Amino acid sequence: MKIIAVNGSPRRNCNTAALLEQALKGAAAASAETERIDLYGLDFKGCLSCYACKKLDGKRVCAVKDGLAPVLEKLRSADAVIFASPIYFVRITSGLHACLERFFFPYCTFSNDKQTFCTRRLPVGYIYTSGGKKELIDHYRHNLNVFESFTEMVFNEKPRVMFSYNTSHFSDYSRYLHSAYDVEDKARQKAEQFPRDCEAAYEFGAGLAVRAKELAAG
Amino acid sequence: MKIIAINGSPRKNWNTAALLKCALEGAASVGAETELIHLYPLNFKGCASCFSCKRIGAVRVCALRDDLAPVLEKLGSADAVIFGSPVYLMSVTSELKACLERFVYPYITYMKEKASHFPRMLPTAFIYTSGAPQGLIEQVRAGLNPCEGLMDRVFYEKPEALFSYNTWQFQDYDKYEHSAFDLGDKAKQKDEQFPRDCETARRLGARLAQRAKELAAG
Repeated sequence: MKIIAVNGSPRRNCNTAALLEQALKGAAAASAETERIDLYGLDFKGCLSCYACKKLDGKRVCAVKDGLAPVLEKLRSADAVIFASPIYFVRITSGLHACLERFFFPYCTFSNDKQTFCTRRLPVGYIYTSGGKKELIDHYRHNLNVFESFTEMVFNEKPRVMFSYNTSHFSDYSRYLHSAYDVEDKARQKAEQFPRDCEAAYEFGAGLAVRAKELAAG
Repeated sequence: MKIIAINGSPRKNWNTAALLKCALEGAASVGAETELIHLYPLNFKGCASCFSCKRIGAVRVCALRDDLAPVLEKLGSADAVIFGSPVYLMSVTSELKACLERFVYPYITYMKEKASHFPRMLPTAFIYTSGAPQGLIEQVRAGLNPCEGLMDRVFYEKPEALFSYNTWQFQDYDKYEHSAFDLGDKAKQKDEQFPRDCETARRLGARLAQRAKELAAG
């Protein structure tokens, strides 16, 4: 059983990556084989509107051959996948968005007869980190990630979601213009809340692995 | 007076590009110098969370040096800017999102005292094309583009928006699965509505150039 985690943050060792690592530890503890992929190290773009995946005799996979192609192949054969992203402009990052365009669109049909070419249930988890507070993110919740709302239609399984709010942007706030942020509050979040979020991420990963195991057992 | 149009579609000669060219024709007709920039041939990614633009004493432009850097420089000194994108899975393309992350974010402050570092009023517009019909797009209107709602705050001027719905997606529909689309309706849109949309784009370009001229005159 294989679980793939995709890091949609440009930072490889910050909040998003830390939560993703915990989720993979949780999945591994539930006996999954795990792999982490950092998107920003790869050379790729989003969907090119070539429509190869919509041809009558076409393969329902993305035809573009670049740095993302092997990642998409891994995602297609995974038993569960986790996508993680910081929130920029109340949205997931453009890097994760580009990856999801290429992963989702080939499964979407232009047909009245069926909605997806995906023939199995795939557990999908989303982990979001945000420098903004919960109230702000709640306000924009509906539009954070358009792919989340398509997930059940495409992969026949409701997605699982977790958030980490009010994260620290920098290690040293004194070097930045930051009067909109309460640095003590940020320090408290980092010391107290973030470790709890890491524990939640561990459970989140374990839960996905358990679900993948159930599905594999039939 | 210079007006720049950004093509956020991977296709250089399809609906989005056609409307952008019309908008630039309109701008040129009232004396603007114009330039159309295609994003997809450029090698760049979205914001890298380096936070250089938030440092005390920093220059408020994106610090990344790649193919987008000269484009951002042009946008920062333009008298008006038009962004075009097809709607993919209820959103502007990942490529336009990446460009907007890098263009808009450096001007946004983390300060209570002011919202934007941008020094003047900048007229902007968004042109959206969509293979889906109007009714569907109106349902997801609020989530299409996270940056549209920020433009007013950052550039002190509300952006215009133009939609072209139910556009023609392929050269030859016979080669693709398309039972979800009404081809008679599509053909009618292509022959009758799209030329009207082009005319609307010309008027938008002229209006934007006129506004830029007013602002330049003080």
